[in-house]
Amino acid sequence: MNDNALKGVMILPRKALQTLTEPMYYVLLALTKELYGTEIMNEVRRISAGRIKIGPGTLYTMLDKFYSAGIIKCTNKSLTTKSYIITEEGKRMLREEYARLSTLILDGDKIMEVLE
Amino acid sequence: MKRKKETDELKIPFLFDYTELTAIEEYLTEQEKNGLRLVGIEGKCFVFKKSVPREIRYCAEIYKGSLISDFKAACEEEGWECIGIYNGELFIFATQDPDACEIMTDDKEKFKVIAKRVLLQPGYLGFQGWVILHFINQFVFRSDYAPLIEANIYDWICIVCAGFHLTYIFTKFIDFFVWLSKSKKYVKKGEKIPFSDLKKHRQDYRANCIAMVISAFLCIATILYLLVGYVESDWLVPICGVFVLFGALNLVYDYNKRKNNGETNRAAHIIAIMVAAVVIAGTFATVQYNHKMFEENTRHLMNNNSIPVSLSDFGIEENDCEDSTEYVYATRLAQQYFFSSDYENDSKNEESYYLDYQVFISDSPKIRQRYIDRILRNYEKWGIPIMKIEDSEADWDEYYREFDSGEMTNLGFAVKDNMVVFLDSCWMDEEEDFFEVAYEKLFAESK
Repeated sequence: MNDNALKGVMILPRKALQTLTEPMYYVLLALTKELYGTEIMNEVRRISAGRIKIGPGTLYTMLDKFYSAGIIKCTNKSLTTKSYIITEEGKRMLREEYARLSTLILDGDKIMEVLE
Repeated sequence: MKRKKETDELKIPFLFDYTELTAIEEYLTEQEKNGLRLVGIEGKCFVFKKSVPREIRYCAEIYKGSLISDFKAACEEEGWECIGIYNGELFIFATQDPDACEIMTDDKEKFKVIAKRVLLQPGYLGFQGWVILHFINQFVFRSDYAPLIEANIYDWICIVCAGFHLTYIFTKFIDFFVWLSKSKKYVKKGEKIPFSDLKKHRQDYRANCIAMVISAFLCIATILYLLVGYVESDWLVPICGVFVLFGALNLVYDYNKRKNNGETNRAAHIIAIMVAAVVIAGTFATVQYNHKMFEENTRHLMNNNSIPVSLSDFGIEENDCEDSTEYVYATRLAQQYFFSSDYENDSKNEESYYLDYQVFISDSPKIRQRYIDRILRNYEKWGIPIMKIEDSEADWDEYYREFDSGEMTNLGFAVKDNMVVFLDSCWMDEEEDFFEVAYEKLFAESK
């Protein structure tokens, strides 16, 4: 590789939750309205037309992370089953991820047009 | 006579690692087919109950978070019944619904959770081991033999490894005895404990057993090393090396096994054991050789009256010792005892001197150097100058010059063959050079 190509480029480790995985993205989409555990799983299935299935283990590991990072908040702590909703910080992340994915699509479109 | 309580319940210890979630599921499914249904987890045991076999799916998952009750509720809504929780973080679920959604659907996330738990567990055990060993060193054992005081980085690695394994084995033994005591209550006479099935499902059961034996050996060596200073540090480094090597080979064996879809790769297993055996044998041979050389050296010195001490001075005969190792060890203790504080009084000249000198003998240059380093370090810390006296006139002249000018105290040490002699605090006749006398006494005849 040409050394000049690396000049001025600083490679930083990716921060946690900086780029959302596919299930994370869908869970945040689902949490734009207040939902509890099973409802979130069903909502993700609905939004993705059954393509994405999230099990309770995966979901609650994710919710723990989101909650600790302040991306979601709990709306009814007193009840046995808690429900959650996305926070302003979470919405910002979701928008950023949406923009990033859109850029990927646009960049891909340019190449795909040439291919086709 | 009161009849022993009979029950259909059977307890079997939980001997799986967190990396073996699939093995747990397979094991439970097989027990179900054999008519043993998992009804709960008590402490560190699976609790089975005899029942009619049924079609059932088991799922073992790790969840460590603040939403345990929600997690369980969500699993139940998906058709999974929580049978038991091990260690507060490993959940065993069962369902009769063949279409029930998997609990962990994201493999990457699952791997992260397992890896975190797998790393935290030994880390915690290692910390425990370190605390125990630190306690032993600080409060129970303190003397010139305490190796932790002068431990180098390799010793620390060994000690930490040993501490971890000591704790690990301790917990495993507790598990075993708990199982043994409890299973007797539940298993009727003549009934076979389905322990062999458990063995089959362990990914590396036999390799783990051997690793545990090696760990036990490592622990015993460390305890001896810490408490009596009998095992020199040169032992522990190769032993630790053996353990690490065996661990690496064990990984190769596991990898091969997984690659072959769970079939045991016997060749890899045998090679792993053979290599480990060769290294262990080599280590023992080296240690034995060192001891033999030490013994011969000691005998030679004693026969030449180079060291004015023998075991008979302490009422110990060679025949009293069980083997040559014990003889050498006792000799060494006698020498150290004799030289640690010796008082001589010259009544004729009414000149007296007090001599405190130590002789440290070791065939290992590394250990000799560490002894010297310790002396230098301590005296430097106390701000007292000390000099090394070589067997040359120039060295002695320099020493006299510095001593006369008041720059040097009457401290010094000399190195000869496999001995380090440390000379401390002596008062002497002005016309007599005691260092020279002491040096001659110790080394003249061995020259």
